[in-house]
Order: sequence, then C-alpha cells, then structure tokens
Amino acid sequence: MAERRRRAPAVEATDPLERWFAARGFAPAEFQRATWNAQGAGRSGLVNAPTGSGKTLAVAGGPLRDAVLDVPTAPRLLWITPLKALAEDTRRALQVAAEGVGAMQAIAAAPSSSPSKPAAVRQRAPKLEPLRVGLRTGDASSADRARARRGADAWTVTTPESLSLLLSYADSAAALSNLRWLIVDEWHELLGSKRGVLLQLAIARLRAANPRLQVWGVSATVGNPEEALAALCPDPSDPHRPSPRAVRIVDARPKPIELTTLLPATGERFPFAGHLGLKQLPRVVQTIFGAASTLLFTNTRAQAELWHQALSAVWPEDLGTLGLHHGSLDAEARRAVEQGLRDGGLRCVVATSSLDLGVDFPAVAQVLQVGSPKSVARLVQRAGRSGHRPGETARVVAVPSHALEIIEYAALRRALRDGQLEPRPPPRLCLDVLAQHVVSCAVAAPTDADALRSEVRGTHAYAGLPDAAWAAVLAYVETGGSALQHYPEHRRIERDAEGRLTVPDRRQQQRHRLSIGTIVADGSVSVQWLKGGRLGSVEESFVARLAPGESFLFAGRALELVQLRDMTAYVRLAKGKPSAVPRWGGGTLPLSDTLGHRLQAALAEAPGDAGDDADSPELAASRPLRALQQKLSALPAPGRLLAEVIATREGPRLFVYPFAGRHVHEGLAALVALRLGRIASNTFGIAVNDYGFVLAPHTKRGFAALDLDVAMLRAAFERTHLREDLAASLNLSEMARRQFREVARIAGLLPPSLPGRAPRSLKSLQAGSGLLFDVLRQHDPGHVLLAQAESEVFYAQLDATRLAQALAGIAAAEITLVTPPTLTPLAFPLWAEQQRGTLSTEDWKSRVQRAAERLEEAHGA
Amino acid sequence: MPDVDAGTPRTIAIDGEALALYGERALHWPAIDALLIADLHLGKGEVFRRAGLAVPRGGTASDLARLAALLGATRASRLLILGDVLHGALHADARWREDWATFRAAHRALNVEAIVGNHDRALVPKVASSMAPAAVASTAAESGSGAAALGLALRDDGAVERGIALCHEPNRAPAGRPSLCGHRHPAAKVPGLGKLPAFWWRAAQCQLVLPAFSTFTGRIAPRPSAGDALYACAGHAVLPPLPG
Repeated sequence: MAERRRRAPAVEATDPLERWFAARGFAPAEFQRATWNAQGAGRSGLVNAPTGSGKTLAVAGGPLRDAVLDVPTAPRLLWITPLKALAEDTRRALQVAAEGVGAMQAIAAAPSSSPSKPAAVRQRAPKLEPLRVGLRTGDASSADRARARRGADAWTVTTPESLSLLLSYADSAAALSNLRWLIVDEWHELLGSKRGVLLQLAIARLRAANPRLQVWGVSATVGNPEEALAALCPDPSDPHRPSPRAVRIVDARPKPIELTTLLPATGERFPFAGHLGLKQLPRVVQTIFGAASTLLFTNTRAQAELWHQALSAVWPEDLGTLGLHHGSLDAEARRAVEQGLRDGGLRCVVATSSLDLGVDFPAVAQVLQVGSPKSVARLVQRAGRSGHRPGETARVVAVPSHALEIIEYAALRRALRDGQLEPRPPPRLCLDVLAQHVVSCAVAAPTDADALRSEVRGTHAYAGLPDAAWAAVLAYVETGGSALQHYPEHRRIERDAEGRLTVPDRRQQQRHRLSIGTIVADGSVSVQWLKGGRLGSVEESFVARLAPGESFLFAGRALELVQLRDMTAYVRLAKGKPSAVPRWGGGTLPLSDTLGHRLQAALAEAPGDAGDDADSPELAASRPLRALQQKLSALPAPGRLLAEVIATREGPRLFVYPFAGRHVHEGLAALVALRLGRIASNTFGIAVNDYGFVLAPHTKRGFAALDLDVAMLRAAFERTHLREDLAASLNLSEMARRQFREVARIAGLLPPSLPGRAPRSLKSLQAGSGLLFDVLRQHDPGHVLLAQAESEVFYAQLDATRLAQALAGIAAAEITLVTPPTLTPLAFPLWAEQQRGTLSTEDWKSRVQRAAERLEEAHGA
Repeated sequence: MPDVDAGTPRTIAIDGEALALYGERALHWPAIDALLIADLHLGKGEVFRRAGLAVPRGGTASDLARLAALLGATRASRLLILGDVLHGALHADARWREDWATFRAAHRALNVEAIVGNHDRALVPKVASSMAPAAVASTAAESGSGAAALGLALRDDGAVERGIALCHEPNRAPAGRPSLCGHRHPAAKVPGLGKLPAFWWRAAQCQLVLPAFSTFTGRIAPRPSAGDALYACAGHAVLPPLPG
C-alpha cells in the first residue's frame, strides 16, 4: 500500500486515469481527484454527489489505478448496486473505464468444486487478459453466475442479496477473502432499509477476512450524512460513529433544479381529492411534445399502467415512441425500454421508482412527476434523471393531481431553495436479519458463535446488541424455540465437535439459500401469453381475485385471464375494456416530516398578500383554495393544530390536521379514538391521509354526547401512557400479524416461495404467516420473532418516534377547534377517502354479538 | 389440559337429520351418537420442525383438549373423522404420539372411526397407495397398520350413516345422496372479524363441508354458488348463515 502511494503522484503525467480523462476531453472534478487521493492513501469513505456528476468515476478511480499498478490475480472489487436493473449499465460503464485505462487481470481458473472431475484437469496457468467486469444478480445468466461463484472476474457488479448468497458458499467466501475494494452505489437507497442492514453484516464479514478492505459508498445528499458514513465504515470502538480513518467527500458544485408546475387555468375546476391526475392529461401531452424526451414518474405501478393507457389513447405519433417501465415487468421488456431511453428512440417513458436510480440516460430532457413526490429527497432524485451531465440544469415538471398538491409543490419549491433534505435513519437491531445472517455464516463454514457476535457488534446496525437478544437469536436458529422450549426434532443449525455452528443437512443449506435476502414480495404470479412469452409478474393476491374471462391492465395492455395454473397466469389480449388494474403493495409512502412542516407553513401564508406569491406560482394558484379554507374554517399553521367538527350527511365527523404523514396519523387517530371513547363509550370509523385524519362515531349521538372542546382534545393528545394506549387502541396484534410475514420470511420461518413452481418437497409445508403467527402467539408468546414484529410495528410502521415528536409538537401548539357549515377543502379528501377502519372500545364478545346482529339484520336470518 | 368451553351449538337439519354445529369446528349428530370432525392434521407442527421450520409445540395438545371438551359436552360415544387425521409420517418418537395416547387413555370407551384423507398415507400400508381409496380403507382395516397403532378404525370413503354419505373430498362424494365432507378447510369473510373457519352448505350437492378442526390449518374462502350458506365459527359461537 505504502509503495503505491509513493508511486501514484510521481507518475501523474502518465497516470492512466488522468490520461484517459484527457483523451476524452474532460478534466477530473475536484471531488473526483480528492476521492482518488483518499483511496490511494488506503482510506475508506463516502462520496456525496448528485446523480449525473460523475460519481461513478470518482469511486472507481482508486480501484482503476490499483488494477493498473498491481494486476489482480484474484477477485479484487465488488460493486454493490441496489437495483438489478442498474447492474448491467454499471457493468458496462465500468468495463469501458477499465478498457480506457488499460486495466488487466491474471486470474487462474479456480478448481471446480464438482468432485467428479479432478481439480488438476480444470486448472490452467494464469494468463494476462483485459480486466473483466462480471455480473452477479438474480437476472444474470447462469454463465455469469458460475464465473462469479468461482471468482473468475477481477471485478463483479452485484446486489446486497447476491453478495449474501455468494458468502454462503464456502468456495466463493474463500475467494472473496482477498477482496480489496467494496463499492456501494446509491447507498442512500439501501441505508434506511433491512437490505442495508444485510449489507452491513456482509461488509463486516469481508472486513473480518481482510482488515485492509477499503469500503466506499456513493450517495445522494441525505439529511443524516454522518450516520450514512458510520453505517458503512463504523468506528470499531464505537460503531455508532464513523471510523476516524473514513472520509466524506462532497461534490460542492450545485446542481440547479428548475421546477415548473402544471397549474389549472384561471376559473378551471380542479379536483379537491383524487390521486390519478388524469385531468391534467392535455397539459401533460403538450408538455411532453414540447421536449425531445421525457421521463414521466408516477408513485405506484397501478398509476403508471393507467397513465400509460391514457397517453396511448391520445398519442399523436407512432405508439412505439411511448414506453412503460416498472419493477413487475419482465426484465427483457425493461431492458428494451432502457435501451430506447439511451439511444433517444423513445419520446416518453412512464415509470415508477424502478427508474429512480442512476442509470445514465443523457437523452432525457425533462422529468414529469405525477402527484406528490412525498419527500424533497425523492423530487431531487427524480429531477436528477434529466440534465444528466455535470453542470447541466435538471428540469422537473410537477403534475399535481388535486388542489392541495399544488400547495405541496409550493412547499417543495421552498425546501428546494433552502436545500433541506430528509434524513434516512438506518434500522437498528433487526433480529430477523441477524437470524438469517447467522444461518448464512453457518451454511458457508463452521462458525464460532462468540467471534461472530463480536463481528456483528462491530456494525452500526448491531452496535451494543444485548446479550439476551443474541442468545434469543441463537436459540431460535439452533433449537427452534425460545430458551425455555427445545425441539429435538428441529434440525437447522447444529454444533460440531468444537462447538461451532454448522448446517450439516444439504437440503437445509439449499432451502436457506433460496430464502436469502430481505425483500419480501407478496407471492408473485408470472404473467404469460397463452402462446408463450413472459410479460412480467403480478401479486398473487391480485390474480386470486380475478375469475377466468375477466380482464386487467398490465404491461400497457388490456389482458384477459384465461387460466391460473402452477403460479402462472395465462393471458391473451382482451377484447373489451379492462375491469381491473393490479394494485401492488408499497404504494402508500407517507409524507416526510420535512415536507409536512413546509406544507403547514405554505398553507399558513395569508392568502391575501399577493406579494408573497411572487416567487411561487403554486402559492398564487392556490390562493382561492386557501381563501375558501379560511372563510369556512381556519388555516393550519406551524404551532397551530386545526380541528374541525363537521355535520356531514352521514353524521358528525371530527377532522384533525397534524400534517405528520399517514403512518403517524394512523397511530394518532386510533389514540384519540380510544381516549374519546373512554369518556363516552363509542366506536369510531377512521380514515387518514398525509395531512390529517377523520373520526366518524358509529352511534347517532356523535360528538354531542362528548361535548367536545379544546381541553378534551388536548387531553386526547396527551403524551403519557403512550405505549399502553397505543397497544390498547390499535389492534397492535393484528398489525404485528401482518408485519410478521416479512419477519418470518427473512428469519427463515416460512418456506421460500418459488414463483412458477412448488416443489413436492415443500407441499406439506404450506402455512401462511398469519397462521404461524397465531400458533406462536398461543404456544410460544415470548418468541424472538414475535417481539421483532411487534417492535417493527411500533417503531417502523407506526413510526413511534415520529408519533411522539408529533405529540410533543401538538402539546406545544395552540389548538383551534371550529365547526364549519360544510366540508372544507382540507376535510374533503379525508371524507372522500373514508374507509371502514373500525375501532371498538367494547370488548371482543360484544363485537362478535354485534357482527352477528348486523348479519341477522342484513340477511333476515 | 387447559380448560376449554365447547360453547352453544346452532342446529341445522339435513335430510331430516338434526345436526348441531359447534363453534369449536365440530358437528354433533345425536341420532348416531357421534361427534364429527374433519382435518385433524395430527403432528403438523412436528412435520414443520423436522424440516427446520421452528413452529412451536402444543398445537396438537390444544386441539386434543378442544376435542375432549366437545366430547364432554356432547357425551358422544363415537368420534368420526372425515379424513386427514394425520399431516405427515407416523414417527414412533414424535411427541404428539404421547398426547394422542393420553387422549385415548382418557376416552377408552370412545370409538374412533376415520376416513382416509390425502394426508393419511401413513395410516395405510404402503402397497395399497396406488389402489382406489375405498379399497385402501378395507385393506388397511384388515391389515391393522398405522390406524391400529393409533387405536382407530378405518371406514370406507363414502360410507353411509342414516342415508348420509361420509367422505373426505367433497368432489368425490357419491352423487344423488346428501353428504358430509372435509378436505377444503372452508372459511367465511365476516365484516369486522376477518376470515373465520366455516361450515359450508352446498345446496346443489346437498352437502355440508366441515371446517378444518385443527387450528394450525389454512383457511380458504370458497366461491359459493346460489343457495349456498356459510356458518362462520367465531370462538365458541357459530354465526348465522351468510348467503353464498
């Protein structure tokens, strides 16, 4: 290492990297050189730079020099990408760079692990060849996978899950022990999820094998950059903090973002609620044809399908210039669209978050965002998909789908101006991921439990892991139960003669590898043409509701379900109009806190002073709405909580607007319902959105019996007994039951679901996660995975931390309680969205009785 | 054994026979002095644990406690199981075997009769597995195999009691006569209570499909036809019929 450091600056004039840049007519940016120097000095770190700034070449620089000055004879670098869709582009970009600097490799073909062929036959002498960048993802070809497993490429592009899988094979784990570089692309995408946790554990593994491993992350700007660095390069003595040897390098050049909002014409009726935004179709078409090429982002896959259909119906030119891209489409179809974007053959692509991340599409001239991006960071990320060259302006056009979203864009404009972004807190102490990791280690090789514990505790995610939690995880993977319950017939992990953890059973090893990874999809069903050819996959729960002959919208076509067999939906083109659009999970991201505060502030700006609106067309456009809200009721503001009691046709309703995002509102609504129900026993219907929540009393007396006043509301938002009251109010166990699916799948309690085939060996092992949850609750209530599911519901789903912050904010705020004569602009979307969430303060038995009575009434039994 | 309350039944009449439906997923037929259940799936947790899926113990024991309570409440002298007595193999060292032995010892006078279900391969000798279900049952009854070890008598699939056929799979029931079946694990979606196990009355077939008795079983909401009814089991209670 020291030798290289001495040599690198001395040969700068002939430095291959500098020469390659010069040959292409570029000069390296300051942050790129800074990164190369830090890498040359043997350090690890994180590069913060926006998309399109050349960050790939910043982090690849050190390894490129390294490959020239010291030709790799074994796997040298792993490049982790969060999305399979990115892998091929990244691989190509790295291959071009490697060829550009003339990097070579000399890797001996590793002996085959197959015992049938003698190793000597397969072994060849190493020969010098151009450095190869390989691919190892779920989408990679089997030849690519085989190369990756035996470590035939010096550099490999992979995903966190594929890395964990590689580490579960003894041979590839050994091949990776000499790894020098680990690069994590788009680290901000992984940071806040369990996938990031899985990656932290894998990095700890690689670092333990080679303490000199240099780990580099690339990330867009996040609100918590130090934590992002710590999660990647933790300080061994205090893993909550970044290692003192790790550096953070920031690209200081600002990337200008130009935001335009498609606003309704003066006097045009614009909806108060809704999420599709199809009313904007004419303006969107006009905008699309005003630029060479456009990426149109929606928030959900269902929305993407509908927008694609709507655009197709009015598309003025060849339909071949309109594309669709989302995560459920077949990889081949996605690749075709990406190619069209690259060579400029497509005028517009309708996409979801599947195209959020950094593939280079220099041809994209503008980005359209339908509906709210829900956070400042996502808007910045998506805007960055246009003007994808250093120094170029990113153009983003906002397409609000209802009137309140116009104000949201006013808030976003202010946040962009101030450069305020959301933090992404990395999850901590996820015991389900830990259980999976322990088994992965034992599958790869006999593992010393104590050494593994120290290694795990060295990560940010498990720093300070309590002994009891570690013991519970070990007990779960070893004996199958809690410490008090042992099942001798349960065989997963065993101890060898030296007391190390092993998985001797080959079938167990295989089953575990199938379940590696942390992304839990609802059982997915492959969608295929009757005549052959795959279109993609949809969620099982959606297809299960369709009868053969019914039609649905998918992959931009109206399809008719012919039959469902062996986890495959066979379809043909439908004749009529589709009756359904698949609903995929994960479409309901909550509004970020940052944006919520900004929105409150934007709403509060008095609608009268036109001067304030000058810099914000959105504020000007929303003036009538804000005026109406003020006339009928009042405007919420930072430090002022607005509550409205409105007599609707369905009865009285209480509307409250904390602007804390839908997850927090779910918790708040349940809490308030419980506490008001204690004063006068009642059951409330609940509906929430990102702005607030509504309570609908089931009895006719409504809030009259309560004599609701500000003091009572204040008491209902009290911070004391938060946990107990939440547990009592929200059917926490039902929420935990839903959350348990993910936890159980990650921890290997559910048999892996294999799309397209159900092996005979798994047939007698079919049990839903709900069923397993019930069984555990009844017979092993102290189970470590139940505790994990409950804590995830509490902290992740309900976002208890944010909820507590929201309550603190309300405690300090003034409460304005008004009784408007009709629904207000703020109340309307809630009223429209109201669903049948019910919460009862009566006990279960009388609920059963009431359900029975209702049924008797309805059916006259 | 835990204290279990059998609850109050709801009575229906099929072909002039009074049948009492219990919320604990069983049917009492006073005229033949029998308690009927389907899909007991003994030892299912064990099958999971042996495969490395750490399902806790106690499922079979609590199922048997519920069964004992129902037998106590109905004072039936016969127990008829409509198939899927077992979930997997019949390992001699399995813990649930002790639970079953305890249950049998506490109910010595009880006649346990079972129809062979698709999960019950271990109840019958291996050579018979390719034979027709009816033939399997009679062969097994003679040979005294797994069934004998558990102290139960095998009945033919389709055996008739007072004009009503007893079968495992609903679609294999003999046409032209009323039947009682299992196999399908039917469930009903009840507003506010979720998906509950249910008795499924199929009007066209004149057939009643029993809910799975074991609590460690999946639930499938059927697509009912006109005239069908679902009787959902909510704890100890059976709810009024939901129309199909």
